[in-house]
This record gives sequence, structure tokens and C-alpha cells, in this order.
Amino acid sequence: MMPRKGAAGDLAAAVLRRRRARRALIAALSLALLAVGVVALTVGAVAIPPATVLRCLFGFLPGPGPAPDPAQMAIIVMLRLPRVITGAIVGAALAVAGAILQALFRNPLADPYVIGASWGASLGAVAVMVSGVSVSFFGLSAVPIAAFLGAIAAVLVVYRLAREDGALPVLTMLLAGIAVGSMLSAAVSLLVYFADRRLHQVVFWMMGGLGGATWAHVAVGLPYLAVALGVAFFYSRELNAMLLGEETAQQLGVEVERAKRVMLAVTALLTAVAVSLGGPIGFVGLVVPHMVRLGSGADHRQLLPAAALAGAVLLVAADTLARTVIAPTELPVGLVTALGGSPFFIYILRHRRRMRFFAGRGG
Amino acid sequence: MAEDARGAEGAGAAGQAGGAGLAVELAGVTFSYRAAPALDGVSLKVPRGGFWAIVGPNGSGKTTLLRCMSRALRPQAGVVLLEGSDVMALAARDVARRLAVVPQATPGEGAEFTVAEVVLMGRQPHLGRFETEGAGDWEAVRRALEQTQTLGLADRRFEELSGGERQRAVIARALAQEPRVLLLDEPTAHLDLAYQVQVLGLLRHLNRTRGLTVLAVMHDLNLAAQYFDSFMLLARGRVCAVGAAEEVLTAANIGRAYGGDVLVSRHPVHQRPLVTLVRGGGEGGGEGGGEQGGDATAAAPGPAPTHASAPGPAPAEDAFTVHVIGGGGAAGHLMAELCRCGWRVTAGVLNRGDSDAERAEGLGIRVVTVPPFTPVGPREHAQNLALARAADAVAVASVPFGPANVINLEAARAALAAGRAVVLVDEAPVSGRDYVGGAAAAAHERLVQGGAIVAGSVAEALRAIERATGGTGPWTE
Repeated sequence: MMPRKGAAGDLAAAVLRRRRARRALIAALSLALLAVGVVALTVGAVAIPPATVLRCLFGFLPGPGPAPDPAQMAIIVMLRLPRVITGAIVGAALAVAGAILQALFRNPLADPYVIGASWGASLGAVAVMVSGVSVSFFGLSAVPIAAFLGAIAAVLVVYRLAREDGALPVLTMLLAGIAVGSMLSAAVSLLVYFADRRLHQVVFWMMGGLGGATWAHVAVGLPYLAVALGVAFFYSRELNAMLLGEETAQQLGVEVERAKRVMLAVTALLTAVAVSLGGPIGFVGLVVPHMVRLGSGADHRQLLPAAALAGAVLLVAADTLARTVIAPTELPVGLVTALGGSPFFIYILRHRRRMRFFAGRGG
Repeated sequence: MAEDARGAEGAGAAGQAGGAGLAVELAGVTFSYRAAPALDGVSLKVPRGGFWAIVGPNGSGKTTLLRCMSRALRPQAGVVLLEGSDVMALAARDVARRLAVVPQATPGEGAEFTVAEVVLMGRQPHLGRFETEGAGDWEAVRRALEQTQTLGLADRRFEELSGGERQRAVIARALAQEPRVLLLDEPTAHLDLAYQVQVLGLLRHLNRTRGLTVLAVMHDLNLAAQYFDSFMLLARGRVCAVGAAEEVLTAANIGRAYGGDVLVSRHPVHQRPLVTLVRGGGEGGGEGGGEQGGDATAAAPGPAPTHASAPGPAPAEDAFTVHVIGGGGAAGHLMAELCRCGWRVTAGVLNRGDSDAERAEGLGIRVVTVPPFTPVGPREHAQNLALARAADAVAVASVPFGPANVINLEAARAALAAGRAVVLVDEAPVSGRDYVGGAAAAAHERLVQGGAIVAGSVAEALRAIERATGGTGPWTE
């Protein structure tokens, strides 16, 4: 309860207490990401004990235990670590893009794919796979590059379609995204229909997966993610205000049209990075923001970092499951996120009221 | 008026920004949604420290006007100047530092935020992109919460609030902006009586002590009349009247803008215009005629009404006419009731300034008057006779008769002679109000013998008039 009278300090303290509780959530998620990361590095075709993993990562841990042999070292550093980091990048990018788009569209069903990016990426990737082009730049094959370009191109088309005399009405944008998406998906289907020999590769890519992630993926993905997250974070207050409606946001001093363009660019970038590195992985972008919001509240200053971390945790965990459940065969990670995540989300939805209650009582 | 009355605490908010003296100026603002024009060349000058109500019927463009002022809509023609600069040329942030908006409540938006978070958003225009809220921002938020009595709600989620609480929280958000101009769209719409008074009182306080310029779209004319200094009446996207309450809230203006019949009288306590709906524009049968009991108080000396005699309420062309003989406040209720029931009413001879005369004017009744404390002269008497003969019935209220007005009974006799129905509304026996040594009582007796109907109350009189005119009154439906 708030005291009836009190200095501004009390009020600030109450709000800051709430924020601090939310920062604790961010700290907890950071620890969870570390833990999931370490676990992900230990399991696989060759089991490597956690101590060895840590020693291998940090090099200076004293104490007993076998020194990592070069083979283990190679498995961790060259195979598993880039895959874990790529998974974290993809998960964070999808979750943050989802959170931003849900605020932008003021629609809880918005996810990174409503702006057409995923089908653009799919069309680019599938076109490369079907045509059998095999060039590579900076250690990246043509597939992720084509996916990235396809995603950006699709969003640009949606943007051009939705623009009406200088403004970007979000409803038009939503509809344009859906229209462009279904057109592109038809084009993808057409390509898949004629894919014959490469059908398996195409289908597998379209289920989403992190197999084959290398340091090159990390090196390309990480800067984009960092820039996009940074810009998004400094637009947090604008996103908050936009949740009150565009007109109200403008009356609160937000340049709404500019904010929408910047946020569209940020989400396009995030989605393009995610899809080009991991294929079209569903569920994370839609659901992680909702799960996080239950703990972090609606304020994007807490929501965005928490969503980034939670998305990373979820995707690294899902990828670890995907490559170990029926080892040596790998499941597509998109399958795992949807299969494992949906029941969890439904559970949360059903118990939301009680969780709200607890969230409301702390303060 | 409150220009120079800024309190010490408002020094930061007011001041600076050059001379012009106008907070908001509209010049020929025109706006259309698709085809339908919502605003058609609206011009207005609002001085700093103005306290304005924008009134008008639904769809008259009030909200559109606010949206143009807050830069949410770009007018197709005309310009909106905020402290001398074109709002469309200003950045959203620059507008938001000077002008805050309390929109009509839209449930569901911002539902997941707490009240403190929402009010803190009011600091948005004052914060740089890389800045976080400082002590000054928290102080502004606390003050805004305190002023709107929402400090106790600070930690509640927006979606858990009642309509009234939400409205006050939104007002707090606007106050946290520390604007110099505040626009409100029906700020009292979701509030109960106590909070209506509290919110309008707060706005007036901020206006008086800090020179905050306030423009509020108001639906309730009487509430608006009670608080606001200046009025703008809009109808069909055009300015219908601008000025003080007494100039704008006249029966003629309101009738023209709203298309209904209204009665404008003085509020018994604070003497501000009091608007009562007599008959709605679309359908007959008005409501809320219960305010007419205050004649005695209304007769207290107050400023003479400034509105010109008005065409006002317009009964049907073929309505029967009742001529009322009144004076001294005795006929106020009777005239109001007759108007409410759809009769065409005339009255005479009344002294100007008499509460009956004021009431008649408010009702838009055609009335013969003489100056205060002046006997009825031959010219007025002739006019009165003409009106009485032209009417279908004459009603004589429980008027005290003295040498100056006893002649009015002649008009009743003339009407009786002309075959009109005459109803004597004897709420009190005539002997008790005869100040001419029995002459009035005698005239009364002659009328009764001549066929005049005696009614003991206004209600009885109405029924008698209806019967006498052949049951064609509005009650026969």
C-alpha cells in the first residue's frame, strides 16, 4: 500500500522498488542463461563434465580434475560454443522483435513474422537452395545471406504498401504484412514443389535449426543484434507511450511516425538476423514477450532486456533438447519450441490470474 | 484576468515565451474527415490564463477542434497558433512541453501499466533520450497525483481502476507535463458529482493561481456555466457564439445550436445561467422541469440578464396560445409549465427586472413590459388587451394587485367578453393579495360570475385550460 501522504521520495521509492524487483528478474535470467549455456556445452554426442567446460572457457580455474584435452577443447570451442551463442542471438532477436511489434501494433498476437520478414527470408533461402548456388562470403554460405536480404526486402515492400501520405497506419501495415506474407509463402511453396532432390534440405531449413552454426554466424549476427537492441532500448519510453495509443503518445511529445519507422527498421533487422541464422523459428517471438511481461510489467525498459535474455534461454535450451532427445538424430529446433513451449504457455495463461495477484502484492 | 495572478510556485511553468498574450489562436481552421466537413473556418483567440468551455451538440466538431489544437490533426485550411507559433511547424515534444491533453477515456489503452508509470509518462517531453527521471520529475508526478487525489492509487494497475479513477489518473498525467495550456475532452464525463466538482475546482484553482490556460469540451452546460469564464458554442462545425456565459448561454443560441427548446434562468444560488431542457429537438416531452421552484431566490437582486429577447422556444405553429397575467414572481411556474406542455405563451404587463419578466424572457415568451415600479400606462394596456384577445385562453396568476397593475384584470375581462376561456389560478385567496381596497377582489368576483374558471393550483389550471380549449393540448395524446 502507498502511504497517503509523503514526499516525492516515497513515491519514487515505491516505483523504484518495483523496478528493482524487475531488475532481479533480469539478474535471474542472466544466471539462467549462463547455466543453460554451460549445460548445453556439456551434453551431446561426447559428454563433457561442467568443470571441464568451465576450465575450457575460462582457462584459469584452479583445482583438481582432468585438464581438457584438445579434442574436448575443439568440440567446445569450435562446435558447441558458436552454436550456443548463435542460439542465444536468435532467441534474443526474436523475443525482442516480438515485444516491440506487440507494442507497435498494440496487438498481443503480433510476432516477428507479421511484417512479412519470415516469408521473405524463406523465399530467399529456398531460392538459393533450389538453384544450388554455392558461393560464400566471409565464411557464410549463400543461404543465410539470401535469407537476410529476402527478409529486409519483404519488410521494405510491406512498408511501401502501408505508407499513406507520410504516415504509417499500423492496421494497414498489419494487413499489408499478411498479404505480402501469403504471396511469398505461395512462391515458396511453388519452389518447394519443384525442389525434388533438395526437398529434404529445404523442408529441414524451413522448420528452423541451428545445425552448422559457426563463429562466422556469431561474428555477423552479434553486431546487428547489439545495434538493434541498443536502439530499441533507448526507444523504450516511446514504446511505453505508444501503448497508450498513437495520438496520446504524440501529445506526450513522441514523434510517432519517426518512432514507428525506427521500430520497423529495428524489428526488420532483428528478424532478418534471426531467420538467416536459425531459419523461421516460430513461437519464441510471439510467446516469450507475454511470459516475460507477467514478471517484468509493461515498462519496456525492463521488458526488452528481460525478453532478450528469456528468448536466449529458451532457444538455447530448446536447441540443446533438439540435438540430444533422439541423438544422434537432430530435431528441428522450431519443432521443439512449439511442442515444448505451447503447453507451458497454456499453463501460464491458465494461472495468469494468480500470478497477477502475486505481482500486484509485491510492490 | 488571472494573467498577473500567478502564484510563486507557477513561476517555472508560466513566464518566458514572448509577448503576444494569446495562449492559443485559431484562424479559419477547417477540417474534414473524408467528405464530411467537421470544422468550417473556426477562429478563436484565447488569451493566456483564459478559462474556456467549448460547448455544442454531438457532432458539432468539439473534439475535432481539440485534436487540431494538439497537432493530432492537420487542418486542411487555417492555422493553429500555440503561443504565437504554428503548431504544425513545432516538434511534438515542443508542443507537449507547453500543451497537455486529457482525451476522452478510452478503456484498455495502457491497461498493464501502473498509475505511477502512466503519470510518469507525462514527463516524456521533458526527458532526453538518454536521460532518466530525476528528483524534479518525481516531484512533478507526486504533485499531480496529489492534486487529483490519486496518490493512493499510484501502485495500482490502470486496468483495475474504475472509470472515474482512470479519468483522474489521466488528468494527473497531463498535469505532470506541467503545461501552460491544458485541453480536456469532457473531463467530467465519467465522474460522479463530488469528483466533477473536485476536478473543475482543481482546474479553476490551477487557472487562478498559476495562470494555466484551460480549454475544456463540456457536455453539461450547467456545470460549465457554474465554473467557466468564457464559452465557445459550436454548431455543425461553425462558431455559433463566443463570450461570457451570459452572452453565449442564451435560449436563442442554445436553441439554434441544439435544436431543442430550453429555458435559461438564473441559478438560485450563484446566479449563473441555468439551462433547462423544455422540449428536445427531435421528440416532444421535455424532462427535468423540476428546477422552477426557486422563484423567491431568483428574484434576489442580480445583474440584469444580458441576452437579448429571444425567439427562443418554438411551439408548433398551430399550437393554442395562452396569455398569462402575472407579476411579482407569481407567474414563473405557470409560464414555465405552459411552455413545457407545448402551449404558445404570451404575458403582460410585467415590470422589467421582475422575476416573472426575466423568466418570460428566458422562455422566449412575447411579453408586454413597463419599467420597474412604474404603473401600467395606456399604451401597454392596449397591447396587453390585444394579446389577451388574440389568445385562446387567459390565465391569471396569483399576483398581488396594487394601483399600478390592477388594470391588468381588465385584459382578462376583455378576453372573457371576447369568448375566451379565462382561468384564475388562485394559489392564494384574492382577498389576501388585494392592495387596492377591495377593487381587485371585486374584479375577481365579476370574472367568476362571467364564467371564469377558478383553479387552486398550476396543475389544476393546466387541466382547466386544456378542457376549455377543447382537449387539444399535448396531454390528450
